Amino acid sequence: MTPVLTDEVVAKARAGDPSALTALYEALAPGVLAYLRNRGSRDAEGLTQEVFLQLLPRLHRITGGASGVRALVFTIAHSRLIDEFRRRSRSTEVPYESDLDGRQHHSAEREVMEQWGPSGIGTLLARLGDDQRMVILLRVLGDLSLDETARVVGKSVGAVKQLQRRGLLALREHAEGSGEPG
Amino acid sequence: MNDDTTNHDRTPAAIEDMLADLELTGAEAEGLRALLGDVAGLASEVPEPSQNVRALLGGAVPLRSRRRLAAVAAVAGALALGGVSAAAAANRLPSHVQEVVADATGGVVPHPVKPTDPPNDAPGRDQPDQPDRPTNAPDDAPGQIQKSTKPDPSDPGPARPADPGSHGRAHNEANDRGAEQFEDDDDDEDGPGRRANDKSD
Repeated sequence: MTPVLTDEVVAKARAGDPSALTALYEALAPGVLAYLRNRGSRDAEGLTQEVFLQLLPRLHRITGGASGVRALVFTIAHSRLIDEFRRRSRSTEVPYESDLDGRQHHSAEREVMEQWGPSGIGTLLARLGDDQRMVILLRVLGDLSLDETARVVGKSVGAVKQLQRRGLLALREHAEGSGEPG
Repeated sequence: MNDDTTNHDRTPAAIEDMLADLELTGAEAEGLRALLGDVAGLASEVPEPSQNVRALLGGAVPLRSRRRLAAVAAVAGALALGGVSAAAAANRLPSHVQEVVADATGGVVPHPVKPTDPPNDAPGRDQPDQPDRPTNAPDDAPGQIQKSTKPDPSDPGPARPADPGSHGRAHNEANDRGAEQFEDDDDDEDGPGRRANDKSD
Protein backbone atom coordinates (compact mmCIF):
# COMPACT_ATOMS: atom_id res chain seq x y z
CA MET A 1 0.00 0.00 0.00
CA THR A 2 1.25 3.47 -0.83
CA PRO A 3 2.24 5.46 2.25
CA VAL A 4 0.57 8.78 2.96
CA LEU A 5 2.73 11.84 3.03
CA THR A 6 2.60 13.66 6.35
CA ASP A 7 3.80 17.11 7.40
CA GLU A 8 6.35 15.43 9.64
CA VAL A 9 7.88 13.51 6.74
CA VAL A 10 8.03 16.70 4.68
CA ALA A 11 9.72 18.60 7.52
CA LYS A 12 12.36 15.91 7.87
CA ALA A 13 12.83 15.68 4.10
CA ARG A 14 13.33 19.45 3.92
CA ALA A 15 16.08 19.05 6.51
CA GLY A 16 17.75 16.48 4.23
CA ASP A 17 16.90 13.33 6.18
CA PRO A 18 17.54 10.51 3.66
CA SER A 19 14.88 8.20 5.11
CA ALA A 20 12.29 10.99 4.96
CA LEU A 21 13.31 11.82 1.40
CA THR A 22 12.85 8.17 0.47
CA ALA A 23 9.46 8.12 2.23
CA LEU A 24 8.44 11.23 0.32
CA TYR A 25 9.43 9.61 -2.95
CA GLU A 26 7.58 6.40 -2.11
CA ALA A 27 4.47 8.35 -1.16
CA LEU A 28 4.35 10.58 -4.23
CA ALA A 29 6.04 8.74 -7.09
CA PRO A 30 3.36 6.03 -7.56
CA GLY A 31 0.63 8.66 -7.90
CA VAL A 32 2.70 10.71 -10.32
CA LEU A 33 3.49 7.65 -12.42
CA ALA A 34 -0.16 6.55 -12.48
CA TYR A 35 -1.31 10.07 -13.39
CA LEU A 36 1.14 10.36 -16.28
CA ARG A 37 0.41 6.83 -17.49
CA ASN A 38 -3.38 7.26 -17.47
CA ARG A 39 -3.18 10.66 -19.11
CA GLY A 40 -1.40 9.10 -22.07
CA SER A 41 2.29 9.78 -21.54
CA ARG A 42 4.46 7.59 -23.73
CA ASP A 43 7.35 7.70 -21.27
CA ALA A 44 5.61 7.91 -17.91
CA GLU A 45 8.53 6.47 -15.96
CA GLY A 46 11.09 8.80 -17.49
CA LEU A 47 8.81 11.76 -16.96
CA THR A 48 8.30 10.76 -13.33
CA GLN A 49 12.05 10.87 -12.80
CA GLU A 50 12.21 14.31 -14.41
CA VAL A 51 9.49 15.51 -12.04
CA PHE A 52 11.49 14.46 -8.99
CA LEU A 53 14.71 15.85 -10.42
CA GLN A 54 12.90 19.16 -10.56
CA LEU A 55 11.19 18.82 -7.18
CA LEU A 56 13.89 17.53 -4.84
CA PRO A 57 16.47 20.32 -5.21
CA ARG A 58 13.85 22.96 -4.37
CA LEU A 59 12.25 21.03 -1.53
CA HIS A 60 13.73 23.25 1.16
CA ARG A 61 11.92 26.27 -0.29
CA ILE A 62 8.46 24.72 -0.38
CA THR A 63 5.89 25.92 2.12
CA GLY A 64 2.53 24.41 3.03
CA GLY A 65 3.65 21.06 4.40
CA ALA A 66 2.49 17.84 2.80
CA SER A 67 -0.37 19.38 0.84
CA GLY A 68 1.99 22.03 -0.54
CA VAL A 69 4.44 19.38 -1.72
CA ARG A 70 1.63 17.29 -3.23
CA ALA A 71 0.27 20.28 -5.11
CA LEU A 72 3.71 21.22 -6.40
CA VAL A 73 4.69 17.74 -7.52
CA PHE A 74 1.48 17.35 -9.52
CA THR A 75 1.85 20.85 -10.93
CA ILE A 76 5.28 19.86 -12.21
CA ALA A 77 3.96 16.54 -13.52
CA HIS A 78 1.09 18.27 -15.32
CA SER A 79 3.47 20.78 -16.91
CA ARG A 80 5.86 18.09 -18.08
CA LEU A 81 2.97 16.17 -19.58
CA ILE A 82 1.81 19.25 -21.49
CA ASP A 83 5.39 19.66 -22.74
CA GLU A 84 5.35 16.07 -23.96
CA PHE A 85 2.03 16.60 -25.75
CA ARG A 86 3.39 19.73 -27.43
CA ARG A 87 6.55 17.95 -28.51
CA ARG A 88 4.45 15.16 -29.94
CA SER A 89 2.15 17.53 -31.80
CA ARG A 90 5.14 19.33 -33.33
CA SER A 91 6.65 16.06 -34.51
CA THR A 92 3.51 14.89 -36.33
CA GLU A 93 3.25 17.59 -38.94
CA VAL A 94 3.41 15.11 -41.81
CA PRO A 95 -0.09 13.79 -42.52
CA TYR A 96 -0.40 10.13 -41.70
CA GLU A 97 -1.79 7.77 -44.31
CA SER A 98 -2.64 4.46 -42.73
CA ASP A 99 -2.93 2.70 -46.08
CA LEU A 100 0.76 3.32 -46.70
CA ASP A 101 1.88 2.19 -43.26
CA GLY A 102 2.54 -1.51 -43.10
CA ARG A 103 3.34 -1.53 -39.39
CA GLN A 104 0.90 -2.93 -36.87
CA HIS A 105 0.35 -0.55 -33.94
CA HIS A 106 -2.38 -0.74 -31.33
CA SER A 107 -4.43 2.31 -30.49
CA ALA A 108 -4.13 3.76 -26.98
CA GLU A 109 -7.63 2.61 -26.13
CA ARG A 110 -6.91 -0.90 -27.31
CA GLU A 111 -3.72 -1.02 -25.25
CA VAL A 112 -5.68 0.05 -22.16
CA MET A 113 -8.34 -2.53 -22.91
CA GLU A 114 -5.71 -5.25 -23.19
CA GLN A 115 -4.14 -4.17 -19.93
CA TRP A 116 -7.27 -3.73 -17.86
CA GLY A 117 -9.91 -5.73 -19.66
CA PRO A 118 -13.17 -4.26 -20.94
CA SER A 119 -14.42 -3.44 -17.41
CA GLY A 120 -11.08 -2.52 -15.80
CA ILE A 121 -10.73 0.87 -14.17
CA GLY A 122 -8.14 1.98 -16.72
CA THR A 123 -10.55 1.24 -19.54
CA LEU A 124 -13.37 3.08 -17.79
CA LEU A 125 -11.14 6.11 -17.26
CA ALA A 126 -10.01 6.02 -20.88
CA ARG A 127 -13.64 6.43 -21.94
CA LEU A 128 -13.97 9.74 -20.08
CA GLY A 129 -13.30 13.07 -21.65
CA ASP A 130 -9.68 14.15 -21.29
CA ASP A 131 -10.43 17.03 -18.90
CA GLN A 132 -12.80 14.90 -16.83
CA ARG A 133 -10.17 12.19 -16.51
CA MET A 134 -7.52 14.78 -15.64
CA VAL A 135 -9.59 16.21 -12.79
CA ILE A 136 -10.56 12.85 -11.32
CA LEU A 137 -6.98 11.56 -11.48
CA LEU A 138 -5.57 14.68 -9.86
CA ARG A 139 -8.15 14.62 -7.09
CA VAL A 140 -7.79 10.92 -6.32
CA LEU A 141 -4.15 10.14 -7.13
CA GLY A 142 -2.84 13.46 -5.91
CA ASP A 143 -5.35 13.75 -3.07
CA LEU A 144 -5.71 17.38 -4.07
CA SER A 145 -8.52 19.68 -3.03
CA LEU A 146 -10.72 21.46 -5.57
CA ASP A 147 -8.68 24.65 -5.11
CA GLU A 148 -5.37 22.85 -5.59
CA THR A 149 -6.67 21.00 -8.65
CA ALA A 150 -7.93 24.24 -10.15
CA ARG A 151 -4.50 25.83 -9.68
CA VAL A 152 -2.71 22.84 -11.23
CA VAL A 153 -4.84 22.77 -14.38
CA GLY A 154 -5.28 26.54 -14.64
CA LYS A 155 -9.07 26.53 -14.50
CA SER A 156 -11.59 28.05 -12.13
CA VAL A 157 -12.82 26.08 -9.14
CA GLY A 158 -16.32 26.09 -10.60
CA ALA A 159 -15.10 24.63 -13.88
CA VAL A 160 -13.17 21.93 -12.06
CA LYS A 161 -16.20 21.10 -9.95
CA GLN A 162 -18.33 20.71 -13.08
CA LEU A 163 -15.72 18.51 -14.77
CA GLN A 164 -15.52 16.38 -11.66
CA ARG A 165 -19.28 15.97 -11.40
CA ARG A 166 -19.69 15.03 -15.06
CA GLY A 167 -16.70 12.75 -14.92
CA LEU A 168 -17.99 10.87 -11.89
CA LEU A 169 -21.43 10.42 -13.42
CA ALA A 170 -19.90 9.22 -16.68
CA LEU A 171 -17.63 6.85 -14.80
CA ARG A 172 -20.61 5.34 -12.99
CA GLU A 173 -22.55 5.09 -16.24
CA HIS A 174 -19.70 3.30 -18.04
CA ALA A 175 -19.26 0.98 -15.07
CA GLU A 176 -22.95 0.08 -15.08
CA GLY A 177 -22.78 -0.53 -18.81
CA SER A 178 -19.82 -2.84 -18.43
CA GLY A 179 -21.12 -4.70 -15.38
CA GLU A 180 -18.89 -2.94 -12.86
CA PRO A 181 -20.43 -1.87 -9.54
CA GLY A 182 -21.53 1.74 -9.42
CA MET B 1 11.02 2.78 5.28
CA ASN B 2 10.42 4.26 8.69
CA ASP B 3 6.91 3.53 9.92
CA ASP B 4 6.89 6.28 12.52
CA THR B 5 7.02 8.94 9.82
CA THR B 6 4.42 7.52 7.46
CA ASN B 7 0.89 6.27 7.58
CA HIS B 8 0.16 3.23 5.44
CA ASP B 9 -3.62 3.34 5.87
CA ARG B 10 -4.30 5.33 2.73
CA THR B 11 -7.74 6.52 1.71
CA PRO B 12 -7.59 9.80 -0.18
CA ALA B 13 -9.70 12.38 1.62
CA ALA B 14 -10.62 13.78 -1.77
CA ILE B 15 -12.76 10.70 -2.48
CA GLU B 16 -15.19 11.54 0.32
CA ASP B 17 -15.28 15.18 -0.80
CA MET B 18 -16.11 14.12 -4.32
CA LEU B 19 -18.89 11.82 -3.18
CA ALA B 20 -20.31 14.52 -0.92
CA ASP B 21 -20.38 16.96 -3.84
CA LEU B 22 -22.49 14.50 -5.85
CA GLU B 23 -24.94 14.07 -2.98
CA LEU B 24 -25.26 10.37 -3.65
CA THR B 25 -26.56 8.03 -0.98
CA GLY B 26 -26.74 4.33 -0.24
CA ALA B 27 -25.70 1.82 -2.87
CA GLU B 28 -24.95 4.48 -5.50
CA ALA B 29 -22.40 6.11 -3.21
CA GLU B 30 -20.89 2.75 -2.29
CA GLY B 31 -20.52 1.75 -5.92
CA LEU B 32 -18.79 4.99 -6.86
CA ARG B 33 -16.63 4.81 -3.74
CA ALA B 34 -15.46 1.39 -4.90
CA LEU B 35 -14.67 2.75 -8.36
CA LEU B 36 -12.69 5.65 -6.95
CA GLY B 37 -10.91 3.18 -4.68
CA ASP B 38 -9.86 1.35 -7.84
CA VAL B 39 -8.60 4.64 -9.26
CA ALA B 40 -6.54 5.17 -6.11
CA GLY B 41 -5.27 1.61 -6.49
CA LEU B 42 -3.62 2.62 -9.79
CA ALA B 43 -0.93 4.25 -7.67
CA SER B 44 0.50 1.00 -6.43
CA GLU B 45 3.76 0.83 -8.32
CA VAL B 46 6.78 2.64 -6.93
CA PRO B 47 8.98 3.42 -9.95
CA GLU B 48 12.65 2.60 -9.67
CA PRO B 49 14.44 5.90 -9.05
CA SER B 50 17.01 6.83 -11.65
CA GLN B 51 20.64 7.33 -10.68
CA ASN B 52 20.25 11.10 -10.45
CA VAL B 53 17.10 10.87 -8.35
CA ARG B 54 18.76 8.29 -6.13
CA ALA B 55 21.64 10.68 -5.53
CA LEU B 56 19.19 13.40 -4.52
CA LEU B 57 17.30 11.05 -2.25
CA GLY B 58 20.54 10.06 -0.53
CA GLY B 59 21.06 13.61 0.64
CA ALA B 60 23.90 14.18 -1.80
CA VAL B 61 24.74 17.62 -3.15
CA PRO B 62 22.01 18.64 -5.60
CA LEU B 63 22.87 17.93 -9.20
CA ARG B 64 22.94 21.57 -10.23
CA SER B 65 25.39 22.44 -7.46
CA ARG B 66 27.66 19.57 -8.39
CA ARG B 67 27.73 20.76 -11.98
CA ARG B 68 28.55 24.28 -10.85
CA LEU B 69 31.42 23.03 -8.66
CA ALA B 70 32.79 20.96 -11.52
CA ALA B 71 32.64 23.96 -13.87
CA VAL B 72 34.46 26.22 -11.38
CA ALA B 73 37.14 23.56 -10.83
CA ALA B 74 37.60 23.14 -14.59
CA VAL B 75 38.00 26.90 -15.11
CA ALA B 76 40.47 27.20 -12.22
CA GLY B 77 42.47 24.26 -13.57
CA ALA B 78 42.58 25.71 -17.06
CA LEU B 79 43.74 29.11 -15.72
CA ALA B 80 46.47 27.51 -13.60
CA LEU B 81 47.67 25.39 -16.52
CA GLY B 82 47.70 28.43 -18.79
CA GLY B 83 49.72 30.42 -16.27
CA VAL B 84 52.33 27.69 -15.90
CA SER B 85 52.52 27.31 -19.69
CA ALA B 86 53.02 31.02 -20.22
CA ALA B 87 55.68 31.19 -17.52
CA ALA B 88 57.47 28.18 -18.98
CA ALA B 89 57.39 29.68 -22.47
CA ALA B 90 58.96 32.87 -21.11
CA ASN B 91 61.57 30.84 -19.26
CA ARG B 92 60.56 32.44 -16.00
CA LEU B 93 60.10 29.31 -13.95
CA PRO B 94 62.72 27.95 -11.57
CA SER B 95 65.10 25.68 -13.40
CA HIS B 96 63.88 22.42 -11.88
CA VAL B 97 60.25 23.33 -12.64
CA GLN B 98 61.25 24.34 -16.13
CA GLU B 99 62.82 20.92 -16.64
CA VAL B 100 59.67 19.21 -15.43
CA VAL B 101 57.57 21.25 -17.86
CA ALA B 102 60.00 20.52 -20.69
CA ASP B 103 59.87 16.79 -19.96
CA ALA B 104 56.09 16.87 -19.85
CA THR B 105 55.91 18.83 -23.08
CA GLY B 106 58.36 16.46 -24.76
CA GLY B 107 56.05 13.58 -23.92
CA VAL B 108 52.99 15.33 -25.29
CA VAL B 109 54.16 17.15 -28.39
CA PRO B 110 54.39 14.66 -31.29
CA HIS B 111 57.34 16.29 -33.01
CA PRO B 112 60.45 18.05 -31.75
CA VAL B 113 59.86 21.70 -31.05
CA LYS B 114 62.30 24.04 -32.75
CA PRO B 115 63.36 26.94 -30.59
CA THR B 116 62.10 30.24 -31.87
CA ASP B 117 64.52 32.95 -32.90
CA PRO B 118 65.23 35.56 -30.30
CA PRO B 119 64.58 39.13 -31.36
CA ASN B 120 67.24 40.92 -33.34
CA ASP B 121 68.18 43.10 -30.42
CA ALA B 122 68.43 40.19 -28.08
CA PRO B 123 71.72 39.98 -26.23
CA GLY B 124 74.13 37.57 -27.81
CA ARG B 125 72.71 38.04 -31.29
CA ASP B 126 75.77 38.06 -33.49
CA GLN B 127 75.06 38.19 -37.18
CA PRO B 128 78.51 37.38 -38.50
CA ASP B 129 78.41 34.13 -36.55
CA GLN B 130 75.11 33.22 -38.17
CA PRO B 131 75.67 32.92 -41.90
CA ASP B 132 72.38 31.09 -42.43
CA ARG B 133 70.28 33.90 -41.24
CA PRO B 134 66.57 33.07 -41.29
CA THR B 135 64.40 34.80 -43.83
CA ASN B 136 62.36 36.62 -41.24
CA ALA B 137 65.13 39.14 -40.64
CA PRO B 138 64.37 42.70 -41.75
CA ASP B 139 65.15 43.56 -45.34
CA ASP B 140 67.22 46.58 -44.45
CA ALA B 141 69.63 44.60 -42.34
CA PRO B 142 73.19 44.87 -43.60
CA GLY B 143 73.88 42.37 -46.30
CA GLN B 144 70.35 41.10 -46.33
CA ILE B 145 69.16 42.14 -49.79
CA GLN B 146 72.03 40.73 -51.76
CA LYS B 147 72.11 37.55 -49.84
CA SER B 148 68.43 36.75 -49.97
CA THR B 149 67.21 38.32 -53.23
CA LYS B 150 70.08 38.42 -55.65
CA PRO B 151 70.76 35.00 -57.02
CA ASP B 152 74.05 33.74 -58.16
CA PRO B 153 74.31 34.49 -61.93
CA SER B 154 75.58 30.98 -62.48
CA ASP B 155 72.42 29.62 -60.90
CA PRO B 156 69.49 29.49 -63.35
CA GLY B 157 67.09 29.77 -60.40
CA PRO B 158 63.57 28.52 -60.22
CA ALA B 159 61.66 27.75 -63.36
CA ARG B 160 59.68 30.71 -64.62
CA PRO B 161 56.58 30.76 -66.77
CA ALA B 162 57.17 31.09 -70.44
CA ASP B 163 54.53 33.83 -70.79
CA PRO B 164 55.57 36.89 -68.81
CA GLY B 165 51.97 38.05 -68.46
CA SER B 166 50.59 34.74 -67.37
CA HIS B 167 48.58 34.22 -64.26
CA GLY B 168 51.28 32.24 -62.52
CA ARG B 169 53.71 35.01 -62.93
CA ALA B 170 51.46 37.54 -61.34
CA HIS B 171 50.96 35.28 -58.36
CA ASN B 172 54.63 34.50 -57.99
CA GLU B 173 55.70 38.09 -58.45
CA ALA B 174 56.80 38.56 -54.90
CA ASN B 175 58.81 35.37 -54.99
CA ASP B 176 60.47 36.37 -58.23
CA ARG B 177 61.43 39.75 -56.97
CA GLY B 178 65.04 38.78 -56.58
CA ALA B 179 65.21 37.50 -60.15
CA GLU B 180 63.61 40.70 -61.46
CA GLN B 181 66.18 42.73 -59.68
CA PHE B 182 68.85 40.64 -61.26
CA GLU B 183 67.47 41.34 -64.73
CA ASP B 184 66.68 45.09 -64.28
CA ASP B 185 69.12 45.99 -61.63
CA ASP B 186 69.54 49.58 -62.84
CA ASP B 187 65.83 50.39 -62.99
CA ASP B 188 65.40 51.57 -59.45
CA GLU B 189 62.26 53.65 -59.83
CA ASP B 190 59.96 50.92 -61.07
CA GLY B 191 58.49 48.50 -58.60
CA PRO B 192 58.26 44.82 -59.33
CA GLY B 193 54.62 45.10 -60.37
CA ARG B 194 55.33 47.87 -62.82
CA ARG B 195 58.18 45.94 -64.36
CA ALA B 196 55.95 42.95 -64.85
CA ASN B 197 53.44 45.09 -66.73
CA ASP B 198 56.09 46.62 -68.89
CA LYS B 199 57.38 43.24 -69.83
CA SER B 200 53.99 41.92 -70.73
CA ASP B 201 53.40 44.92 -72.96
